[in-house]
Amino acid sequence: MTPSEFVQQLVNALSLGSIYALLALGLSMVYGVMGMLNFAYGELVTITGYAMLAATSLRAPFVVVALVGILAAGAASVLMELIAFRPLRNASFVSLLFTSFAVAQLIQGAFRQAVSVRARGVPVPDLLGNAIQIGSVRISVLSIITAAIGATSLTALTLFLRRSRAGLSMRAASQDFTTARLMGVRANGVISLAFLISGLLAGVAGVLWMARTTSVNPTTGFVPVIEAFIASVIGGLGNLRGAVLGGFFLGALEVFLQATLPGSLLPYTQATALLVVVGILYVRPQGLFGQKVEAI
Amino acid sequence: MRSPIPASRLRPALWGWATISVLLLGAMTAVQGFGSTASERTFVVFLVNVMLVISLQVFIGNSGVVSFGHVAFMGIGAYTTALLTIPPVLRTAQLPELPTLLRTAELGVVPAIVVSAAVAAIVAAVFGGGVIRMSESTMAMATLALLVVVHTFLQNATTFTRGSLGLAGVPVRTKVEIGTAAAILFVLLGRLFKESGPGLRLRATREDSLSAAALGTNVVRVRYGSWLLSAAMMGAAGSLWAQSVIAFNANQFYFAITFALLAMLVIGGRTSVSGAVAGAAIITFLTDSLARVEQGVRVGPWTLPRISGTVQFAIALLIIVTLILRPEGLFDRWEVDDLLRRFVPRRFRRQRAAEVEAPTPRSPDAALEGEAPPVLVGEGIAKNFEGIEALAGVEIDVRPGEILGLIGPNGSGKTTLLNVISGVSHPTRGRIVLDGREIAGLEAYRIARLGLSRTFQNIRLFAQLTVRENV
Repeated sequence: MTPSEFVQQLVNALSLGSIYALLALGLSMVYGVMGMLNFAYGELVTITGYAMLAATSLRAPFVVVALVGILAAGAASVLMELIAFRPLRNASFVSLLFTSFAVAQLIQGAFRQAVSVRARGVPVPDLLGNAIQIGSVRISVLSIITAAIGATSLTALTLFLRRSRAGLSMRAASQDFTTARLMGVRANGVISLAFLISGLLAGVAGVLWMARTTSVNPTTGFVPVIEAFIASVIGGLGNLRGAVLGGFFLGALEVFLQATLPGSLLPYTQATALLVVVGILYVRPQGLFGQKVEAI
Repeated sequence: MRSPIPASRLRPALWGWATISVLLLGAMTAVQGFGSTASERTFVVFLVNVMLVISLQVFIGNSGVVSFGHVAFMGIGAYTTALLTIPPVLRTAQLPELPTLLRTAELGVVPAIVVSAAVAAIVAAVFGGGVIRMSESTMAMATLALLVVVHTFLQNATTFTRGSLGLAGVPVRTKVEIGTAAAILFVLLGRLFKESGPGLRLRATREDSLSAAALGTNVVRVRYGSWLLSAAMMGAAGSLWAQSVIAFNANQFYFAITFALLAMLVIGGRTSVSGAVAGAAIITFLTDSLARVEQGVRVGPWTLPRISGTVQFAIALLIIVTLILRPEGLFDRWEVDDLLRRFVPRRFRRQRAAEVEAPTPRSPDAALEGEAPPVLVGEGIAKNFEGIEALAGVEIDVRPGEILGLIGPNGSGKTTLLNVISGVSHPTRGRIVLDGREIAGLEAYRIARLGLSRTFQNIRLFAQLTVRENV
């Protein structure tokens, strides 16, 4: 690998990694507060896609289209919790997991009925398809924008969590929900907030995802939720910093495998990445960046 | 390890099994007597679903750990069967690059099922060795990874599977009779495992793995055992499935069926074998009737419009409604025999009380006579928690028959000492000897097997087990 190729791959890894980091962070946030794995999380990306599609058909400029996508995901996430998960607040881990699984299927079904089984193109500005030449290095604009938006969102979220009162209660709740309630944090409030942030993160990641894939279909959410799941498990589920690091790790791993696997093995990229991750978890069951040792 | 099942659990289990068998046989007779070819086909689909869900139930239901990966074992079983039973001419026409060994092999029903189960179990053994120690959410992810990995393999290893083009020509042998017989066998296997010693211990770990370990259960080992059994059953069920359809491809072993099977399990009640059968019946019936609706149905003078994708939608709704109304599923933790017992009049019941013999109390005086040597000796036990010395230089002797009190103010380390002795945590320094054996550093379940057990300060019962099973 030449140095310029290396720089290109590094940018690719950072850009893919920041999407995964956003996704993992959103999933991990809900897990931290409620102890539930929200399988319907990927559908938020799908919802972003369809919302963008709807906004585009109204001829809105792309910035507006992206904002509509992000807000739609945030709203959908909060509604999801209100309607489907709140009645099951104290149910077991498994029941909640299955419920979210069913919610995911419902949303997929709804899009299949309402729109189409086929993929629909989501128009993105031509600018994103361009590449800039810096010396011998060609870097796509999309990668740079993705990495920049990823970094901005993560910084904004960090500031919110560290500086604001609501952020403090979120962090407290994700460490110990019961104690946080005893200290006067409102359970419903903090859970809704967690779902809102989780949805907005999925929305931002969803816009970036749409910019990469330029199309949406009812099962679009499948890959994002799996990647988010894997990244947050590597990072140690419920551990917010770990989720971000896990996302970047997973992005780097996939880009590395894509670049090094021989052509005949390329279809196995994702599978290989998964096996590597399972191998890591075998050695470190608490995840790469997890502190808490989970006893069995 | 394999302790025989005590009569108190075996007898109701067999009654429950017999009830389900009679129902299945009755349905079989009805379908054969009055049913059309279409209803026979639906019945076979139902039977195969029963087998698949019970295989899933053996692991998920008893261990409480969700696996998204079991459909991978079904796929492995199905392809193994295809490669061993499709007539050689058809086989080489579809898969010209097969190695010679696989070109000619032709197995009958039973050998094909056995080999399929074995292959699935081998894959499960290799993969499970890595993941079975993980916590439940990590395990959910790891099994999901298994599903994706195996699916990728089945789709891309075209030499053996023809990927998404699929294979055709597996002799259709899973007909109504064989299917019913196999389903009855699966129900028996699932129920016997549930009631067996390892099955009961596994269910105890589902409720509280710490407490189960303190009572002598090797959590990893019972989980691994049920993982293997359930994967082998899944492989066998996959084999029977492959022998019930005309053609199949790699995409059939992915999310749609995983979702359908989990739905059956959740709706029926995942801890109950009877529930698994009920869940399979409900979902199969629902899928079948909705599939007809999707074709467009005539209701009197009206023709309902064709709606596609209703099946998945309806199943998802059913799951949510079930989980809200009956969080543990229709059957909850009960089996069909538990329900029957409620309806059987009291006077027909056998006197159970007579069976329970009070254990003859051992006279404590006998043990206290003289200065018996201590059974439990602790020397210089120390435990540090990152710089805090919780215990330092504890000496303890416990003699047979002795009742020893351990007192001290809050935080003085009473519980820590008990934790260290019972193996819940390990001492930093010092020796603990039980009956002349060094036990410091052993796992909790091993110490419990050597005869040392503890209770917890806040009593920890296995909430979903009956009183009798708890004891």
